[in-house]
Amino acid sequence: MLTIPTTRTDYRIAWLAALAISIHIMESALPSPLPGIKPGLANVVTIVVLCRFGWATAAWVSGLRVLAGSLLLGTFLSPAFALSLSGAFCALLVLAPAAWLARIAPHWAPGPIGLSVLAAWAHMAGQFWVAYALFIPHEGLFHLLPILLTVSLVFGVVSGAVADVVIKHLEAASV
Amino acid sequence: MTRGDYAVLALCALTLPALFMRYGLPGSTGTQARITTGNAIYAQVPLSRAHIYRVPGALGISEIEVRDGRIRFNSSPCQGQQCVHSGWAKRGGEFIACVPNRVSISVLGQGAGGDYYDSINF
Repeated sequence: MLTIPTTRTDYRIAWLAALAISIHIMESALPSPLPGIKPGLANVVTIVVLCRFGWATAAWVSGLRVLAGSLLLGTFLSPAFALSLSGAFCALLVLAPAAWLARIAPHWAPGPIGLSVLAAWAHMAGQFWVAYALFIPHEGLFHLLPILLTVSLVFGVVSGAVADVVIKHLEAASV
Repeated sequence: MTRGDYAVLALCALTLPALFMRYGLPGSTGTQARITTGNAIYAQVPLSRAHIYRVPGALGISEIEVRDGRIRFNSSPCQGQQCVHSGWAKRGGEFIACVPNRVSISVLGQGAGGDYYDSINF
């Protein structure tokens, strides 16, 4: 029998992804005042993982959440999946230089709140671009952009603050 | 909060007003209205200038009033008077029609796609 050797990191990714997927699915059950607007609480996990274990682990956790989340919600390969994937992809793209900055200049790099806001905006921008390019190529869509970005700024700050608290507790627990 | 956090928030605080100024709010107030008779555009009128337009339709003259950035059918030769009862329209995408007289008004949103409604079904 073929067995794939697993590492500690694999287990860590699996556990964290499971956590992110659970939050993702619980959140999808919450009613939303406007379609497309949701708090993105699963991103708390991404930010915490980014700060504790680095960008690569965060990318795995985020990617697995989008994939498994869509399979469980039944949106795999649907427009919702395309939006989710493009959002996560852009967020990770923006987080990469931010994480690199945190390594070379820790005093100048954004902390959890800044990272979360960056990710939220990149997520929204990526989603918006895909929504415009693929689904609704109507210029009226742009009138929604300022409102969507305002909402994602608020949720980004909230998620970042939550991530900050979680990270502080994790640091206190591991010392 | 680190310096980087403040930098990110400052960037957002600068970007958002610019975006609001560029794109405004959805369903912005219309600045112009198009009056159609039959299948042809009769006139495109500004909502900024108060005026009463007398538009000839299939039955007779429809009187269309513009005042305070709004537009309405003031009087109509039709029987049902639904166009008059529709009242004022001011938002981009709003639409009033007098079907018997074949006169209709549609408020044009600011810029392309600045309409209040995505689509309307009757």
